[in-house]
Amino acid sequence: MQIKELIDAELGTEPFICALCGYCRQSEAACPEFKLLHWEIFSPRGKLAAVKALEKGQLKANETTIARITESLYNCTMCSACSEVCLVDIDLIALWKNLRRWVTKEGFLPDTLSDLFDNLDESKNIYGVDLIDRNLWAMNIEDEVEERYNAKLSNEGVGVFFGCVFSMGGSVRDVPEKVVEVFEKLGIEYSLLGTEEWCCGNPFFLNGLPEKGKDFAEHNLAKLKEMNVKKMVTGCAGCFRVFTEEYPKITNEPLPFEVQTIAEFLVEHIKNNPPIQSQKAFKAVFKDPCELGRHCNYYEPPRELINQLPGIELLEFPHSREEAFCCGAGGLLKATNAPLTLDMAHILLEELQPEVEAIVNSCPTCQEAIEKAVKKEGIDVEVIDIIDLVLRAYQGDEK
Amino acid sequence: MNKTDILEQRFKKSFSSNTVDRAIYSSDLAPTSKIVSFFFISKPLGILLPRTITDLQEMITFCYQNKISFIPRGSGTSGYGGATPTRKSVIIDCSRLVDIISFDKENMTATVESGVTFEQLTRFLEKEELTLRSYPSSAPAATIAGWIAQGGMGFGTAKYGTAKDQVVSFNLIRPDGTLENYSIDDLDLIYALSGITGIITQLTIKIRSLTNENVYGYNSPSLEKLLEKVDIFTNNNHSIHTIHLQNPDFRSLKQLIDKGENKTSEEASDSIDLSEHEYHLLVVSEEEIKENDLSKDSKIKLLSPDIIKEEWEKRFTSLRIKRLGPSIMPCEVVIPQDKFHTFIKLVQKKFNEPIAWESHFVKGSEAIILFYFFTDERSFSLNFAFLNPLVIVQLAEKVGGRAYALGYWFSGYEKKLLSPATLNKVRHYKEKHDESSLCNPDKVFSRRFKWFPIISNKTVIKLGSFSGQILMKILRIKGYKKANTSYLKKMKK
Repeated sequence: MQIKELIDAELGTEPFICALCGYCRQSEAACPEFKLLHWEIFSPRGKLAAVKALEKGQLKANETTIARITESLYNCTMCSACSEVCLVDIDLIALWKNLRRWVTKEGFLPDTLSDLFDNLDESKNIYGVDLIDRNLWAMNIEDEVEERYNAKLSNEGVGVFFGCVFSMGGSVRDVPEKVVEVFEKLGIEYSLLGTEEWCCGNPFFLNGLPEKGKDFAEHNLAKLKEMNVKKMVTGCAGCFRVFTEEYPKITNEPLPFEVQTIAEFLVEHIKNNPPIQSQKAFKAVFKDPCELGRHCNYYEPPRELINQLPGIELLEFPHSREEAFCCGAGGLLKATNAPLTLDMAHILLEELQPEVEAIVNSCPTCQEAIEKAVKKEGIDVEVIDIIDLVLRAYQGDEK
Repeated sequence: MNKTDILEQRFKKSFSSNTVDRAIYSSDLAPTSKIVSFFFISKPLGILLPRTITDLQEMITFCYQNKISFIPRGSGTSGYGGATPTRKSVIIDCSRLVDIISFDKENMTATVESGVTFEQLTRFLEKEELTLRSYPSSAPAATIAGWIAQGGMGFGTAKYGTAKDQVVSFNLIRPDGTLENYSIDDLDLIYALSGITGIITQLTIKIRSLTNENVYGYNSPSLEKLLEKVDIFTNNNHSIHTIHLQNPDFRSLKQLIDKGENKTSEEASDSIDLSEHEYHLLVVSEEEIKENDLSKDSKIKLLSPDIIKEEWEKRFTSLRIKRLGPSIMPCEVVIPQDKFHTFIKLVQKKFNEPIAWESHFVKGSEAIILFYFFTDERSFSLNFAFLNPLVIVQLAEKVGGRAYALGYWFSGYEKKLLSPATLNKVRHYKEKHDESSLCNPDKVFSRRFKWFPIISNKTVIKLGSFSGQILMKILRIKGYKKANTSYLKKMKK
């Protein structure tokens, strides 16, 4: 695809609307890629300037040019901080996706992503493991959950979608078991997709390849429908965004069921069955995941949930909600440039107030990235998933 | 080895000569057409990115010793070509020099590196109950050194003056690589000079205590009436730091954008209330303005504090109207306050179409007016849009005004902005420290035209403007795009 075709078909006048004001690169809560790499091309404004130069013939779309643009596109976490401050309301995330699509078609997809996409094509998950191993997280509670796999739900029940990272990721693989424990404690009727759960397809969507994500959407939606799901819950910010933002575009209609984060879902249940006593009181800060916050404008439910748990004093990062700093792992950056992910997490941790004892996450990718950075920097702070926090509150009762 | 190779070899990862980088550093906020670029603009040899002042000094010294022209650049948010190349040069991007070095509550000063932005410093100072005195409308991105090198005006200038009035002292790396500390007495070595005398590394600027902002808004169909109000405020009330005026066309376009969410421009246009098609004055004072002084004229309407407060909070968003472009050719002029009305009448007569503008008043009875000409940088008409700023400046000169900044496009107009003593001092300095004119060449002082060196760039620009205007008359071409067709249709109804 020629760049001019791309601009005519997908980008329109948007790159030319850019006011070059530089708010996207210079504001405090702006682009983390630019903050670290600092060449103009690594800023949102710089990327648009390159597209404009291509369209105006000031740049030729040769190998050197596309390679540099590719580098800038895949050092981006798609955190949407740029869109948040954009003076002229350009949907920059849509532009980055379209540009990623273009460089992919031109043969510049980074090798690590090529491998990841092969995994998705062959094994339907990002790690390339057999589908049968998707349930390994449940090996200690197999008997308890066996009947939950693909079980038909009543109208009160919920379908749980864990996503690849929670199901198979390294340090967060214990979270699904905790979800089950919390649901059992609260007497919630739930059903699991088990080996029928495919990746939500987020890597394809983030790469501007919705046609490749279509199979994943159709499969997951069909399986959830078979379970008579009226409400689906997920603990993954990426899966939540894909279900609520991408799937309706694929199917051209609203989803046949409601989608909530597990945190939001639990708010009501905890109100009705609150934990009586928690462990020792401590101060925690909630990290807004970009794909929940800026992408879905979803800020309050996780905070509501944490505030319901006794003994926790909820603090805020100096930059939170719309201004929240990115953990560095989004937008496939963890696969394309892991050291940069770590550097971005470092910027986030620099904001951490000394009194904070725990960083609470509502996204497995954030959890893993922050955990790794905390470990590397030797910071004395716990990094914890929000479900873990809920479970501990109830376990506090038992003790 | 050519110059690019030696820079690459010496500075490795702090230097880029990648074609993409060179292309995107070859322009600033103002769009340039292919024809104009052919005559005047060239891509830089590459870009240097210093991380520290020591890096920067090494880079400048190296350029000087190897006879490589270099151009300082901050955030690139100006539109005068002051930070763009005109010949084989390397750009030195100083936006990474972002340390806030210190602040002094007793003397009310802050010392910062040159790449610190106004927003960065404001957020820092506000934690200490301090704030800035004057700052530009591009404060979230503009660097402090860039604003001073531009000769900046903006918010706060009604009380605290221009960029010039903010500086206490500064450090400058001279073109030959020597680092020198200068006091306020030598401010004329950097003010409004687009960095031709070296690169600022550090500035100590005046700050003030954070006070309540009392924001007032007035609307009136009569520009004259509002200007009378401005005169009263500038002469009698010394607690007012900002006086900001917008014309009805600017207001309507802003409304169109603000009301246009999820609407077509046609639908949004229908929701514009033309009964509010009035001039709008925003006044900010550190003390409450006495009720008697607020409004005594039936032709002036005092706006509700809630509306006006929200507007003040959104003061850095003027460029939102660019969504109606897609491109804007901006033009700023400084005119005597008492000639404001005469000048606007001249502009209206000349263009005879709605043109959006806004203005800030400056201590010392001057006003800066910013005009927005809509264009499309992809079309041939951009070549004509380029003439509009020149026409506006010519009109400003008729009433004793001048171009806001010199940069490249108004190089040769230095006598309008700088005193003879300053010009002598700068010339002498350049001869002493930059005899080959390596530091930001072709800026401020007009140089010879590269294709025909008997004449100067200024003459070529003037000739181009003159012949372009004749061509536009013959071919009945407008040098700008109508701001928004649906909005204009409604106006005509």
